[in-house]
Amino acid sequence: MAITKPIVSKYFVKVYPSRCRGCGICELICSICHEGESNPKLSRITVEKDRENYLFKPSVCMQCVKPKCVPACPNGAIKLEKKTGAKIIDTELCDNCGLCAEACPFNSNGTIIFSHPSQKVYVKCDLCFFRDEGPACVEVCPTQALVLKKL
Amino acid sequence: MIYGWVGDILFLDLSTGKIQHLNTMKYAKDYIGGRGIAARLAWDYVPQNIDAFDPRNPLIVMTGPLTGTLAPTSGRTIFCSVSPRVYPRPWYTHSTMGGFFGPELKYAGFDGLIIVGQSKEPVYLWIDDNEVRLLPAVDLWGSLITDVTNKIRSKHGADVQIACIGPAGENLVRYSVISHTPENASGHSGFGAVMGSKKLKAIAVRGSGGVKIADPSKFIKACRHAMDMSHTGPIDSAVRVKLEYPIPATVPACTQSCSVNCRIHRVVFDAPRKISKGEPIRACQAGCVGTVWLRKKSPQAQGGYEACGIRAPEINGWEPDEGGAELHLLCDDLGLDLWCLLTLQPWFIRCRELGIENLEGLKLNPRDPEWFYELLNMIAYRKGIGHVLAEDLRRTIDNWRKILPDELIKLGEALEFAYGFPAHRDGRIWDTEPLPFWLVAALMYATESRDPAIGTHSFLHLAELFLENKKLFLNKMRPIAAKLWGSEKAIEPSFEEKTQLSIWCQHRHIILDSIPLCDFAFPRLLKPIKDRESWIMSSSIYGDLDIEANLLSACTGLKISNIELEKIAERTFTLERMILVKKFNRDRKVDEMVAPHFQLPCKTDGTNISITDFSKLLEKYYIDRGWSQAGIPNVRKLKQLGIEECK
Repeated sequence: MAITKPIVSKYFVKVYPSRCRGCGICELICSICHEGESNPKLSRITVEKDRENYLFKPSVCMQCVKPKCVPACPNGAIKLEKKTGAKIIDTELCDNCGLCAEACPFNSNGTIIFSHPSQKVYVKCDLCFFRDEGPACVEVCPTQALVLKKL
Repeated sequence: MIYGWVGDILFLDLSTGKIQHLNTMKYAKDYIGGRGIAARLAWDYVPQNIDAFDPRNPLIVMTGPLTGTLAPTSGRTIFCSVSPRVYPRPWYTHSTMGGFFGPELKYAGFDGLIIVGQSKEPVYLWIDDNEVRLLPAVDLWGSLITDVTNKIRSKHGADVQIACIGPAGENLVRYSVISHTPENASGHSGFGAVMGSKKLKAIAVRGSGGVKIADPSKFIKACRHAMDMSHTGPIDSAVRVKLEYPIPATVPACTQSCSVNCRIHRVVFDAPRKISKGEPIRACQAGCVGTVWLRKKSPQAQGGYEACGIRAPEINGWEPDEGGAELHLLCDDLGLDLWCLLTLQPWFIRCRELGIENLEGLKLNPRDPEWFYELLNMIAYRKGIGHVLAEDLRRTIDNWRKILPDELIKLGEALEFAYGFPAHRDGRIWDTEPLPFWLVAALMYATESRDPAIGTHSFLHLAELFLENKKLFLNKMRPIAAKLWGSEKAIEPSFEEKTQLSIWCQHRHIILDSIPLCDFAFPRLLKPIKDRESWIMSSSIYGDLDIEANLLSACTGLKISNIELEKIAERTFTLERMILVKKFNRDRKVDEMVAPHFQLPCKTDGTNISITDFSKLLEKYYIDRGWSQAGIPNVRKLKQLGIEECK
């Protein structure tokens, strides 16, 4: 399926690594909201924790204006969510091929778009479009290392 | 479906390599988790009168239902075993730590581990989800904490969480730690030596599972509320009111899901290194606990903190930049309890002041950090005088009783007055709690297995607010005291009506160690205090004691109220007491061993209590507890708590 209309991003989660303390609350609330369980390995946001050097780096989809993942999908499974502008993966259409994950220039360690181990579809940040309060990770980050910004 | 817990406790015999599984849910309702379930397991599995280094002594490693979730400060691990440090004889006690080890254990599918037996050769336990293996650790034996961690990570992956011991644990130093990261450690109880005696160098875990939540939206709400109530931390509020010193905006979380950012005592500084032999400076063992200095790496560095040292110049004469940071890091690497610096140095300094220049052929130079650096190495490897000191200060004093002047014996007994544990928030040695705080602590000291202040910081820290303005503090606290502790007098600086308050503190400590949460942030007895003005102006300061029960209920799906939770805590406390009574001959005589310490005057207000008066207080405490005057829980109490079989 070809994309005819330009992708309009409205919001994205801006990351401030220097504010991050490495507590991992974002990972745990993300997995609760999407999976019903606290499981960092199923979280759509991942904090790289270099505790030896006290360096912490959350990585999450930046909801690019010109996303590489969207045209990479042969099934047109990555769609624009109207309310938030999030690029979301339609699990009905995803066949777990992984081309989106390869196309994303920021996904080198495979934590931004990844294959769900039991559901066999790719998953990524959807800005919690189903929550009235907005992205859960932003809501609970104790140090404002994650902030919802308008593009 | 099980929520909160993951349902499995691994039982491992190192002598035979045999693995069994226990069902957590058999214990969950009555004991919750952590210290609660550990107490039940200890009742079942700790043999009577056993020594810490007996292969049959189980090392119990527990998590709680909140471990691995986003409940603020919940990423904790609870270790329980017979402690080699306890003086005059080892008995069952506990020691907890923060970090990421407990959560990973749960992600791998285990609520806890019980490790018994003794391996012939050094081994480490490798848990990769449901794959559990004992692997040879001959090449790891002798390694420093950092090296063990790096070697295991390079073999199994950077995402592995590790709890391990250093040379001190291998050499059965009675105050050696089980270290994790190494910012976190199970420190005081000397469980590192228990691992060492079992020839178990490390436990390494990786898990891909999760912790299921019964009511996600309710749980998130409860977590949000808990975060809002605790984000400044009670101590932070208290101290900020008092001191209002500038504090760095953020410091790394010492445990998973910590939203508290307690920041207390942390000061960023830039300083040259003093000891040339030190390893490159890294993260601190003490985490958010203790007085930690962080050194700024460079203005550009992200998060930018490099190092620390325990800051106690008033005690040991060292600022971190005078060698304190290096000594701190050496303790981390050898796997020694950091607090040995606080007891050994003032003791050796007094030796010198009294004209003792040599002990066992060693020239004493305790004000020189380089000398101390060597001493710590001698202790960890049990070389020379280190062989004696590795037995801890109380046993060392017994060893040298004939050659030491009386004053040094008394000083050593005061420094580690609590069954061999270092003095802590007793108002006499380095903490300065005035009445009523030291008295509340004293009753806890008398009736527990170890230093109890380690789990009651958030209450004992209120002393800061009390000292800031006594009248204001008492006016605000009296209604709370009447409501929770039976009388307004409980919070007065007097000797009356303190037993209920002590019992309350003990139960809140058990709750925190069982669900688990950090005692720096909880219980939220008071509302968060923003600044001095809001503290003065606020008409109601009462916080929220339902936080723990609400988190637990939403997480597990069990409907548990705060009252029920305190009842469960009483059950655990009483069972721990019965373990000491039945298996380690604990009674009133042993309880009263701490009494002479509180004859010493309090550093802040000069108050003290005679041995006779202390004994009377203890009698009242026993009555309130439903114990006999010999300090033994009576059968009616056991029945009431549903543990009559533990008599």
